[in-house]
Amino acid sequence: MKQTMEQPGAEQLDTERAVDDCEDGPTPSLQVSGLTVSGWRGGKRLPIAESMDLQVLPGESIAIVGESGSGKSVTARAVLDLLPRGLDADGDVQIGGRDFLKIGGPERRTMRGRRVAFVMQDPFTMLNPLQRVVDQVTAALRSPDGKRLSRAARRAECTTRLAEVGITDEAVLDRYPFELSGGMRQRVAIAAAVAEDPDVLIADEPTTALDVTTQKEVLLLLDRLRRTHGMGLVLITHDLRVAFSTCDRVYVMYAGEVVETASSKDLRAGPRHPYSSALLQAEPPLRERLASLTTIPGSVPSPGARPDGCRFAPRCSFAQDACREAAQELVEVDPEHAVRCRRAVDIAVELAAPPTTVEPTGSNAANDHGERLVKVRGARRLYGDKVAVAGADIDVFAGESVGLVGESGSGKTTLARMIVGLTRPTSGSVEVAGVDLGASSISRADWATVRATAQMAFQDPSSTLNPRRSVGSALKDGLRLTGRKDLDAGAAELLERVGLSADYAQRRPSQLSGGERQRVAIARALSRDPRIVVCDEVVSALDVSVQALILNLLRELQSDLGLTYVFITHDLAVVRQITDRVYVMNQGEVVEQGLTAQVLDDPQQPYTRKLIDSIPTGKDSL
Amino acid sequence: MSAATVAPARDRRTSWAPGLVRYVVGRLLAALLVLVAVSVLVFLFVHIAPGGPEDAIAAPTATEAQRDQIRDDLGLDRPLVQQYLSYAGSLAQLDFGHSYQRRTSTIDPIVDAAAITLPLLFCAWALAMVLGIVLGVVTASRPGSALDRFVLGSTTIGASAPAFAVGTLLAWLFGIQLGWLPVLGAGDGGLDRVKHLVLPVLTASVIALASCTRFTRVRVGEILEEDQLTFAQARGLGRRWILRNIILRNAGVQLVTLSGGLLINLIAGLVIVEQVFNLRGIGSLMVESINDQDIPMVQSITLFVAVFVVLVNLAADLFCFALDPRLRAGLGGDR
Amino acid sequence: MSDILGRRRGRTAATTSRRLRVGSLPISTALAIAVLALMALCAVFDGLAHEPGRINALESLQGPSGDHYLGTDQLGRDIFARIIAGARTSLLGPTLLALGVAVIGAVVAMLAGYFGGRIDAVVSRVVDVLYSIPALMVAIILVGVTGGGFAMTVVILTVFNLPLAVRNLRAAVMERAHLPYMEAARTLGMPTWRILLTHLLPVIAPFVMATFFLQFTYGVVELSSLSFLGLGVPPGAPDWGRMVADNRASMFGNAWATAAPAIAIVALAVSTNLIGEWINDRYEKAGKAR
Repeated sequence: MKQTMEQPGAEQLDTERAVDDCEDGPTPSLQVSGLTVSGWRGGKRLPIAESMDLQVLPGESIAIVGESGSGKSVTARAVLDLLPRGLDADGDVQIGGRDFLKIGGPERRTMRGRRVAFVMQDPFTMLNPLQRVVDQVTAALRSPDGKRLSRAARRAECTTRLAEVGITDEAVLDRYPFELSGGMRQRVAIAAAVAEDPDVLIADEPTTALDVTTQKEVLLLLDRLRRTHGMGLVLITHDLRVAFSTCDRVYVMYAGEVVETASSKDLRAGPRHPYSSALLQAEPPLRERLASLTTIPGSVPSPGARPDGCRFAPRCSFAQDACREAAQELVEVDPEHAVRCRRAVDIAVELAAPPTTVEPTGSNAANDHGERLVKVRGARRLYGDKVAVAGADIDVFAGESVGLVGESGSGKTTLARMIVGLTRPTSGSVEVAGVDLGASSISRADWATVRATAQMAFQDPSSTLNPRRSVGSALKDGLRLTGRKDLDAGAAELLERVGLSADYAQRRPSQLSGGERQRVAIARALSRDPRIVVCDEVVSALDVSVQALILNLLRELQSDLGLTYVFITHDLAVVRQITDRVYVMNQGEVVEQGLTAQVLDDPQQPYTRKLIDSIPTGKDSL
Repeated sequence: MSAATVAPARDRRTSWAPGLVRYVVGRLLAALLVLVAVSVLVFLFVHIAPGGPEDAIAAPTATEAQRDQIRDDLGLDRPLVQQYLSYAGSLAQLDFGHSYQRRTSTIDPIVDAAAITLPLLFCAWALAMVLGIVLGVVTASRPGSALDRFVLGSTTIGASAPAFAVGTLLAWLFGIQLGWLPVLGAGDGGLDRVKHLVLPVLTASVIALASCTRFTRVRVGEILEEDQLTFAQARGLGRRWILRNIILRNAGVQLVTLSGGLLINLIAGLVIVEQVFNLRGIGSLMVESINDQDIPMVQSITLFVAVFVVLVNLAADLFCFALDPRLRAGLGGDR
Repeated sequence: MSDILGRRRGRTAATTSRRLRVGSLPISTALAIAVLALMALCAVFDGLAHEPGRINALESLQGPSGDHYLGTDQLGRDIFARIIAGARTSLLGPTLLALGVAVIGAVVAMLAGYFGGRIDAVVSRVVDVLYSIPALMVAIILVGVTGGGFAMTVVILTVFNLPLAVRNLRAAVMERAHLPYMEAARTLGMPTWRILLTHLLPVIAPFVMATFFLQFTYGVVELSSLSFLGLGVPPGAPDWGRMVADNRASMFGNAWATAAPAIAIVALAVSTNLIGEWINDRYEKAGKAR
């Protein structure tokens, strides 16, 4: 049953899959029992993931889903015994029925690659930059008598393996990783990982660093490999939609524990744990716009600070006193559906009912356009001979929220930077409040006008604030430039406006969470009292629950302050929630534009359609 | 499902050959320019030395008549540019001037001195590199161990201790207290010479060893934390494969650059070491000539050192280029 | 259990060395600071030395005693006193050198790293050319040929030690100059000088400090080597490097005459090296723990 090579053809992801029935008796490809991973801090043991029990049958695929701090990545590493320095693992892991953790080091090494394989997140750092593809993919292969393969044999093997992952160009064998795109590298890495035909493949966020169109291809690839090799697949991800579309079974992790496990179908149809339910609801839907997104109050407890009773209790709207007193066990509430919640049966009805506080609003009708604040005509930006933006025409009117959507390399960020004056257009005109930023020289007064009109909030929460300065000083920088005198009061006001208490002004960025830092970044943009806030992927690096918080905040600010937004993102679901009009960009050009609802429901251009189709919705894709 | 391919590939080898040739030629030209600049500076030595140029060139005991002779021979009345050109001209003909004090051409003493300095130089360099890389790799894979901490402490001291202090200490310890090894001079060839060079080689290599060990430890430590290493381990690849293909390869380029720098710094260190151990090498020659104010000698020695430095840099650059395909691609223009 | 490369898992170096600490400093750094402070005191208050220049042929080459803690040198001068007196010269040069390199290096690196473009191209070119030329060698040659004094020596060493400092600081600047918080400052409309002063400088300040201390170490090594060769310092003045050279011949008589100044030099260099490295370690870790 293994080693049947199917030709790459048209496939689709679906959620119904039968386990191979020519396997006799379900010896799991992977069996994890009581796995606990601990770190050390100040001489004390800190459990990061606790008592994990997982099972993967041959040919089955499971997903481990969790936000940051859930312990999912560390679990994957522990299963392979590849934990970074300073972390220990306890528990039992069996691969293909054989003990893994209890045997000696050299034996484990033999099993790695041959029985269990691992693919990591970042295709740019996973491969050796100084070795050719052919050498890396075949590095672990040996001839039947244990010797290294000859050059010709290696090339032949590599060609076969690359064909399996969808690469048929012979030239790739001699390439170095830096000469390949991200998607190609990920495929090469997968080919290298499964070169020895292992029983189970563990993939840690394999598509997170890829564009959404490439993401779909890689997920399809993993799925196909699973079926042709009869291989078990463990997919670690933070994205529930990805989990549902690719895997048979899902384990939801929170704060180091599995809180719910069920088949994809059952979990999607009816989550039984408040966290899973909240997570599902916090995902912005692609198909409709909600009045406001469900958020989860509070934040994930860090390993040393986990509460004694139910770990989710502090944030749970169904929590009772009894929940907080004792730790909860994982209990089966339905066949093949286990939940770690003592109230699971009681709240089943409430969880299943659609939340009454959330209603889809009608799609925004075309507003009467207000004053035109930004007018971009024929903007081009070249870097050497690379074209980042190739002649874009954009308009932004007062009071609206405009989206710039595209994958990496589409030019959306460059265009946004041109609007706030961080990047000069090579040619074309970029008019902001009447000032053409493409002109050869711009007076001080004109720059002041631009600054007072358009400000920006940046993507990466870990570098958006100066680590050596307090939060308050970041806000005062902008306030000072508006001529305001009472800087401390101004900073306090700004903080409160974004939902943080005034005493945050004294704190350093390292003391804030990612979501809090993004709020400060938004406050900083507001400190200049601008009319337009350009949001450059401000939620892309945040957990889903935090993302919802920020999106709600942005909507609130818009209606309170009459702001105009230019929202840059690659995520179409987010675009649906927060923009009225959208421009779709591809390779530096605007390929489609219009009202958000119209563009997303009825795309005219092939690229737009492809973009929408690539999003895993967790339903049958056709 | 579309089969992913790369852009139609031209033959890779010919596509970066012109880039390679351009790079090498570029580096050679740059090297030449540096040497020309050095020659100008060196030429000026006679004019910036205290006293007149004639005093700089002649021996202190020269008579007035000899000084006039020198002035005529070398045309010291002509404008500077002309003087430089004739100096450059004679350099091009491999005529490196005449030391009036020693009464020989400047080259002969240099050649004799090189016979002592060069073996010393390369032994110290080889010792520092080999031992440094080994220690660096070993300690990087055992961070926090007793060995690691000991090595870290030793390299800090080694990197800070001037060669004359180390040399004096070693000379005292092994030469005087223990009497195992001779401390002065270069011995009479063969085994005796080797015995005489042991302490100098050790002294000279200390700073280079400390530097190499430190660097390797840090670099290998970084590589050990990288994803590519975990990925290789996850495929069951063994220690030796990882060491050869990941660790050494990825550290290699910077190690080559470092080794070039170490070699050059060793020359400077040898000036001191030769003083401490009374070796009549190039370093001592230079110090003597400076103390004697024998400028022609100083000029020639400086030129030789400059040529050496330029050659070492050139070799290191070309080596790096050969090792790292990313450097090649940056110039081949075939992204 | 140890894994593939023999690495031991469990406790890391950080946890074990935590035991040997003085306040928040590892014991080695604390010692280093103490040594440096002591020597600085000697440099400033040279009245502590008791007649370092007094020659007394009768007391030549005596061993350590109650009168002369470290004995006397060939001319009967008290070694202990000369060590204390020598602190001033031995610390002054490296201090000036380190200050010059750190300050000029920081300014050049900030300008090149922040503005990029032609400034950076020129700076990088110059740095590349000068980088591989050993400062000590140039100093020996130029000082030797021109017979220059202390001032010239310090200037030459500053110029040839700058490339390394500029290279490192520029790298630190470039890693940070285009981060979002810097771009945000620009977007807000902050004047450039303010951005450099209030945003960039605080962020690279630790690196500049580390550069100061490490450069101090190189300075000690280079300047003492020069004075060992008899260059750059007038004869007779108590200077540690000179003392080592002068007393080498009397190793058989009183070894302390040569050993004491050598140990002092090494102690000074090691101390500043440790301090510089501690700063580097602390702030590199802080930079990575984002």
